[in-house]
Amino acid sequence: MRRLLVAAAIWLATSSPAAAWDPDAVPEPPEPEPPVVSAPEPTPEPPSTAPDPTGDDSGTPAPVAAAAPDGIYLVTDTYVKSVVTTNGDTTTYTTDTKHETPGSYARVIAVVTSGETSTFDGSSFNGRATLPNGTPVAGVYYENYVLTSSGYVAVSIVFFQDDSITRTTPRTPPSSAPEPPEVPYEPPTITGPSEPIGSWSPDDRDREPPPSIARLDVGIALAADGPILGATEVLRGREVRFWPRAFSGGDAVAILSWRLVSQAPDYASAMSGGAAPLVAEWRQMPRASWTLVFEVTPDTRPARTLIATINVAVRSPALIN
Amino acid sequence: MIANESGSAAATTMILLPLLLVVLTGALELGALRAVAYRATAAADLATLVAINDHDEVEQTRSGALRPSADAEQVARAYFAMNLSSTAAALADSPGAIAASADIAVFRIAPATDPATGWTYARPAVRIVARVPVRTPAFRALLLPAVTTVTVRAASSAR
Repeated sequence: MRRLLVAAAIWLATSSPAAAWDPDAVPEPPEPEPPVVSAPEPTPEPPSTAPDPTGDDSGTPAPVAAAAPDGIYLVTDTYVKSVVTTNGDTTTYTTDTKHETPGSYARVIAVVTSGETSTFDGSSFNGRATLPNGTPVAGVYYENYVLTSSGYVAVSIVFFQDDSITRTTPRTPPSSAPEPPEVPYEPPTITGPSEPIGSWSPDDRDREPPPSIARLDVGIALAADGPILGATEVLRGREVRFWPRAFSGGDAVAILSWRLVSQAPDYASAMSGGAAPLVAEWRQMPRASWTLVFEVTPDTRPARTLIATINVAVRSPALIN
Repeated sequence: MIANESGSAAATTMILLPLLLVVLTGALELGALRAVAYRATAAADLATLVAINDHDEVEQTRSGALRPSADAEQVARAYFAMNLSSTAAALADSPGAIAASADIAVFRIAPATDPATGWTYARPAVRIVARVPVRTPAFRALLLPAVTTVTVRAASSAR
């Protein structure tokens, strides 16, 4: 009995009152916390006024863009390839585009005229072609941007060529003038600050005829004899062969060399080559799209290096519904 | 008074016990049926994934598009049967017979609307609709059908 009393005494001495809720108690106002001295909050940047190309209104906060570069706009036409065509004496340098909205942005950074050099020469992923006399063609440099959570990020520069050159022939004098004596044939010349190329006279008939500037199309096919494709779908984890191909007047032209100048996929057999194709494979989770850009040098005279591109959509099997 | 209450409880138990057993048996059988249905659905899902994971290389070379291969239907049927074999003990028919009678469709051109399911496919797809007979012996004890047919649907595409 004594032990029991001692134990009870110890238990009572060491116990603490229960924090029971008293319904009649008047709640005390919370004790004010000491003020915290902090630096003033920075004024947030104004949100980007650019529309969300994905149209995602799922409630996720839209990325707040830093100051948008001047003249930036949503891309609605994308670069496909540079085209060189010849019609009679006129050779035209144009750019094929595709009407699509990939969600990226762009702005004009330089407009260059024929023969004018630019600080952006060599910085575009598709290069800048040259006229037969070696001077660069006219066109426009665009800088491409993607909108990230930290603002507009410049990703690449592309050159849209827009130029033409015409071989001139001696002008016929006015009919009122007396008929001039027949003059010997003069070779055609190319306008512009250049030396004529491809000049040829009847006296040269024993020599090899000059090379003709014919339309030369380059592109990428998925087989050695396959058609040129602007875009393709591939399965993730599968090897795909990309064959640079060239056609002149509808006839296939052998490829001397090619070089991959864009970002390489997860696996690439080589960054450059000749007759062998690029063997590529995407192993990571697919992203929106890829664009493979090749510099292709067909077996033509004079040797020309052209740009060939192909858009790649990487897919993987998935359940529906 | 106490004796009267004791007798009432015993009588209640005697009356309710069969009902409780019926409910318990039905719940257990329903749970087992649900598990088999899930496994059959997974078998169909995996079969469509395998079938869509191969593509027509000729068409890809020609147009760049990924289209199911010519034997996609046969591949889906074969893998559906193989995947069902792990649940064969619970099935009232052989996996091969179930797969053979399954409605398997290959949609090579997209977008397309599936007349059987009403689903819309934005890309080429392989779809399975199968009726899977499942043994339900406990239901038979409750005077219900001994075989319950479960309909499974699955579709996959390269996305």
